[in-house]
Amino acid sequence: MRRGIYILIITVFLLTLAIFEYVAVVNILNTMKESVSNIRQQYYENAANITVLKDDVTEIKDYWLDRESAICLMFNHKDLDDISNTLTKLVIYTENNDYYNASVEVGLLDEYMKHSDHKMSFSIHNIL
Amino acid sequence: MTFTIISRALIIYAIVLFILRVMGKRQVGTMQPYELVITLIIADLATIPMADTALPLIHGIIPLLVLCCVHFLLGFLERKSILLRKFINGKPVILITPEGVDYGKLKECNMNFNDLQDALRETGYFNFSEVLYAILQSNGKLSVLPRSNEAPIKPKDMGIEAEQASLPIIILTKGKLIKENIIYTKVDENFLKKQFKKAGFESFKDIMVATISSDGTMYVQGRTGKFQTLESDFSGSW
Repeated sequence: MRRGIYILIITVFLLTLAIFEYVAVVNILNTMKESVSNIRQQYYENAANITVLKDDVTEIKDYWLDRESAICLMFNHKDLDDISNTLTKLVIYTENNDYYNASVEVGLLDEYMKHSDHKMSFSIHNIL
Repeated sequence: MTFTIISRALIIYAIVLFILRVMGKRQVGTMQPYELVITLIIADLATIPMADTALPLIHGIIPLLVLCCVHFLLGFLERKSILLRKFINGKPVILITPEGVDYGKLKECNMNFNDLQDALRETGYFNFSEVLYAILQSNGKLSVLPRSNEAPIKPKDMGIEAEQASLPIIILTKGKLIKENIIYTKVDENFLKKQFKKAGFESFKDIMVATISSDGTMYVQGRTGKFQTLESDFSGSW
């Protein structure tokens, strides 16, 4: 009986984690993915003066940093660091109107987001 | 970083301990194959997130908990179905029959005659001829039924009515009474004091360890000197 209760508690815990991951983490990643995709487009459109995007990119960075602590429960910390570092570089390049480096970083960020989505999904590739 | 690793180690230790407690008290030698597999995986899984701080702790905890559930499920299925029990645990193999060693079965178990002899010696039999049946259990242990003329003599064989053995229970260690056992044995503290005084101990503090059996026999060992066995008129009901 006692063991049954333990197993029930474990199952509920695992389900809660799965739901948390699905609702919170996937939601955050999707929002990030969308924002990064939009800002990437804006970088191409404002290639001559990317400093106008400083506030937008800072906003994305703040959004990410605010939620990083929640995501780090489920996500490899090294991957999170890569995204944070790329965002920091992107803000600096944008402030300095360095389009070439900024476009590289925003491209990287876009790839990270696509990749993280792929990593989080439940698929035969991930299982194998 | 050091504190992080220390904290992680403590958390993982607590979780593995909890899981092993939930899994039950079987020891390595008596584990069924599926239990051994799970235990080996748990040991490995626990060490990865303990040292690698880049990995979320939950990545180590989730598989541990899942394995715990799997273990419980397999245990449940094993109890409910004989067919599944055979599939999960395998079945015992008779290696020695009254005709002698069954070499075919020995080969099936990936054993040779030396392995069988080693296992037999561990059970106290040095010659194949002493054994009527030797059965390799699914947990890897060898059970032996000796031939009648090689089996140890029991009082029953001699027509002797032996007194039933009684279980000694520790009632005092390092000068302190173990309340739980005092309640279980229903032995009176004043009675104990009297008995210990007879043995030359003025107070409980002078005693290192004391046990009592249901037939009233007490084992008392002081902080110094040799142990004493006391006979008393106490009669327990356990």
